[in-house]
Amino acid sequence: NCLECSVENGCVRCPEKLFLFLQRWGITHRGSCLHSCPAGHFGQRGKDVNRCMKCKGPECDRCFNKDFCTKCKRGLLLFKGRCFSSCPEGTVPHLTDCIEGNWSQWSPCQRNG
Amino acid sequence: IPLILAAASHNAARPAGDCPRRCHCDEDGMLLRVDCSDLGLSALPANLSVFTSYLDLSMNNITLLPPSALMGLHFLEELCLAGNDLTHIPKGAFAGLFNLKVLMLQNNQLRQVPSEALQNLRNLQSLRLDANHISTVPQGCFDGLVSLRHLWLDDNALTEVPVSALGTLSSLQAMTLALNKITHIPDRAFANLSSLVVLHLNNNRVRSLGKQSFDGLQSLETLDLNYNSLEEFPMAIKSLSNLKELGFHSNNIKSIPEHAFIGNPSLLTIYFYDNPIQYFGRSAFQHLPELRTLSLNGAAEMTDFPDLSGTRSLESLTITGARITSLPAALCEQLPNLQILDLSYNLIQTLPSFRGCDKLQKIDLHHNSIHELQAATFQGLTSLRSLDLAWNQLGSVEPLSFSGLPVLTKLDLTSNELTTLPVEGLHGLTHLKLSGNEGLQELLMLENFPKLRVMEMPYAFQCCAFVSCDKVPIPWDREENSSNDFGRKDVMVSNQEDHDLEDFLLDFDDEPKSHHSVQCSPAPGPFRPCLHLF
Repeated sequence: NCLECSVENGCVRCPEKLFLFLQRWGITHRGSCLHSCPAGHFGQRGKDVNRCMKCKGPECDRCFNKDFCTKCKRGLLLFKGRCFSSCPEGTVPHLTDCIEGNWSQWSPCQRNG
Repeated sequence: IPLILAAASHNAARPAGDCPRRCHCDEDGMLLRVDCSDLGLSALPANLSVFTSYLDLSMNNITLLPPSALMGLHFLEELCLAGNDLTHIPKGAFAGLFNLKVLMLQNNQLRQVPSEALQNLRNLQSLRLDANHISTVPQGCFDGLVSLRHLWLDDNALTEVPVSALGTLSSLQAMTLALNKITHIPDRAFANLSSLVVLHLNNNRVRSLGKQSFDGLQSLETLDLNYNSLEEFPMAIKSLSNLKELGFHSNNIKSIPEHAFIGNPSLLTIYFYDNPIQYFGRSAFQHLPELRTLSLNGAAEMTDFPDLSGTRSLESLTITGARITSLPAALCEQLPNLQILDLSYNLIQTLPSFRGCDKLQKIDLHHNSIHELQAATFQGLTSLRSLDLAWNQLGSVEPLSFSGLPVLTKLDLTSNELTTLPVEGLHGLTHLKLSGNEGLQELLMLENFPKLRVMEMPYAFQCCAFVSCDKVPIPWDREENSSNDFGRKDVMVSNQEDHDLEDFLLDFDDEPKSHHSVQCSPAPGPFRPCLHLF
């Protein structure tokens, strides 16, 4: 899965479509080419290179971009791209998420009654 | 499903040996995480356990998913088929996957969204279709995905926004259509996406927008229009009342109109560099109470400083390469939180008082037409560390001009018309640049600059005060370099590379070294003796 590599740094150029993931290795970095980026990272596609980038918060396990989380670490609750230890006002916990409560001021009328 | 799991875990142990041959399996309570990636498989592995919750089949050579092949996997939450050779996914391929939450199909050979296969995935939250060859998104293809939150369609061959297909995704929160060939965004293209928070449209060929292209996106916080071919400012953003981050850098926009962001009071960051912007409406950046950084470069037609009333949180303001001649007197009233101000390469002639800008740390005013400094100009700037006034026409500098600057460490007055330098307030300087002031021939006193490390003076003899004149060490005999008997500091004669390196290192070294060395140029030497010849 690698187009160009070096002994010290592993892969330095990936085939089109794959993401270059740089992992710290002592004082250097080692690159590898992945179809999807590991936990705590997201894949950023660009004109010239696709790279695995870090999600912003340590509490995020998987993200869409650096600021928008799609899966929080265990014990945290996800609401609109952010991780919470307890649900924000107007929402209630549901499995690993916070969802807009039945009667919250901001909840759309999705439920009847 | 949680109830079933709890019952199952108490009553019946899962039969061992459920891991398909050559795959790697981890137990997760009663459930099983199965990794069959990168095994050269050309078909789905046999005897997959019904308790499989995670199945990774990425980086194989699977070309076909037979209908009902995964029928029994009711506990499957995550299925990864990235990096295979799927050109088509038939109806029923995902039948029975009632609990599927994440489906990864990126890096395959799909030419259209497999609408029939996706029909009944009611719990699906994340769908990756990026890096395929999708040019068609059939109407209704996402209809059954009532829980879909995250959709990747980037790096495909779309030439237009799939408006009708997106129409049913009211739960969608994040979508990327980046790296396609979209040329136009019609009015109300995303009208039903009321929950969308993030929308990436970067790296397309968008040349034009409708006035109402983004109507309906009331939850949108991030909009990425970078690397497109927009000719006009995207007025359609006016309906995005919750927008926090907006990017339209690397387009072909020539002006930003008056009241450009009137509909976006929550904006935190705006990226619009790499546009041939020549003109900004004076009111363009008003009433942006959350904006922290504003950078306007190269707007050659801009003659007036923008009116920034209501944009009080600004911390960094850069307006370079315009034709601004003066600054508003109320600058610091409007921008009390300013930390960095860069107005270099303008035509500024006079400065107002910066009193009130208590947090200002750096001022760049080089390459302007400033001809005088008054005592009040910089008074009260208790946080100012760096002041760059190089390449102006400073001839008159009142004695107390630098007196109210307790933490100033860098002062650049290169290439002005100074004949004298008021030293009041400059005792903390580590960097002082005065070269290019031919009329400045006075000697600077060592005791006025106890912390100086880097000096650039108009004449070599002015360095003598900071060095022993009879012995000027040459770089290669630097080892003998030590403070001489009189405790004078030794100057190091260095070439340009050392100079930059020294400067770079000094920047990181707040504490003065025990052995204090001043780098003064032009350094006195055999042909530039330290005798006052003038």
